[in-house]
Amino acid sequence: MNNIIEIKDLTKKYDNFTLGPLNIEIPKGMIVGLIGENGAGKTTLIKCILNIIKESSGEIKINGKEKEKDFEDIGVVLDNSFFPEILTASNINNIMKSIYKHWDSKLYNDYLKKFNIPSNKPLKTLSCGMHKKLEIITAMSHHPKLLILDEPTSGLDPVVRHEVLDLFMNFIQNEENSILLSTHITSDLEHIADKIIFINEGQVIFNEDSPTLLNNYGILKCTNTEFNNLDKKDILAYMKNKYNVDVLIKDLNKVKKKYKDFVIDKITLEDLMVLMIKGEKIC
Amino acid sequence: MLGLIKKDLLLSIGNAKSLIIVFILYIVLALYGSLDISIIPSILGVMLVISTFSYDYQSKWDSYAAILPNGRKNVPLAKYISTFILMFILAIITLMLLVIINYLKNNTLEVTSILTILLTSLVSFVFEAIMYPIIFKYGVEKARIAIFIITFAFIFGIGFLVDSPIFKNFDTILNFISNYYYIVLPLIGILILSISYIISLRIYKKKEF
Repeated sequence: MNNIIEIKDLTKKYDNFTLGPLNIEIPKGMIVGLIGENGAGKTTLIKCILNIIKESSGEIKINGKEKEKDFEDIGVVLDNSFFPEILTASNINNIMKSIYKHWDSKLYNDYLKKFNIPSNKPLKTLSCGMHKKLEIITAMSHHPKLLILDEPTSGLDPVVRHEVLDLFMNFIQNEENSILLSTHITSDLEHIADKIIFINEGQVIFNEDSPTLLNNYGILKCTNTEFNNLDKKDILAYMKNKYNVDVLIKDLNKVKKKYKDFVIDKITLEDLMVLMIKGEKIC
Repeated sequence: MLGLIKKDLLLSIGNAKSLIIVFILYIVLALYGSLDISIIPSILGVMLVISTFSYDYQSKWDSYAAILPNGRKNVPLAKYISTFILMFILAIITLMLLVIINYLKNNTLEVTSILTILLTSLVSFVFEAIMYPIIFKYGVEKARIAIFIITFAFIFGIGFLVDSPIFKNFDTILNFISNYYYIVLPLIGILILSISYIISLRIYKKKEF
């Protein structure tokens, strides 16, 4: 069993939105990033995996078992959903040690100290960043094998985000643990993700290894006249700006040889996402 | 399960701190006025447990609870058990206060006071038994209208019951129950809550958050 999550033909239908059908495999020992614009279906997918909502059809297995059986080994951060705000971090410790078999109070308290989170203040008095940090350490204090994180780094300043990303990197060091995280801050994923799944309008646009993805795609910059002379087959998507055109291309090395006089930049996930969603396509 | 019960009780305790002035006011009125404090546990209890639903709603706790081991299965039962524990604690506190107040006033503690505590607790159990499935189904915000209607129906219904010719003399029922009240009333309460729990569990297991 090399996959921690296996999703087969998953669909979730709403009146005005349909997710899937999706087929996704998440291998053990990896950090997999889920990207896509708001409303693309990231949270719906995560909620399906976690049994917060029921799929319309399809199958989801976590660690080879039907979902909901193995929640003991999963740590979760949800977007905007946590303990009631009048409770304190120390209340959470008290509650969680009766919920998870492997809850580690010492680890939790060490995390609280490390991230300077006050243990006796109600959650509502914590800053947005503190709140998020608390959600993350709560998800990690029962020694889970899988972390499923919906927007875990939103609201964190760059320094803390760095610390949190380090925490995630350490978490997967044993090559058994895995992380699935969705985020808007795509630059985070460039640092840590092994694999990127890009979802748009409920469909997977691509599902590729992060290094391959970032080395394989590029942005060719040219003028309007130059653009008209490009081989249309090479254009995945393009965006016309005031003075030039940004063209999304694949097979970076091949295209570089073909268009030696052009500036071709390496791609960032953000550019890739924007061009894929907002860019115009030829065919 | 225990964790979820702890969570609801911690929420109630946190919230009870803000109601402490009301509680003191009741005691003062009981000491220097003619207020019978034996109805307090039920009123205070209902306020406290309904507010735990409000706190849950504000922080979208239900989604989070669903990802905890056995969370979906245990949330309704934890709510009912914590309600029962809370009502029990409030009843004991009230009973102790009654003993102290009567001692200070040089009165003897009357059986009817204990009976009132049990009866009003039962009434609030019935109220909660009706409310919980509605809250689990529609959420506490939408259920607020139901809370008003049911509260009104309760007051009206009890008033009607007391005035109706069949129960012309409310004391006769009290006297009838008073022989067995210590068994009968809690049993009725548990039975009603159990039925309500089964309905709530069915609703909650299928619910999407």
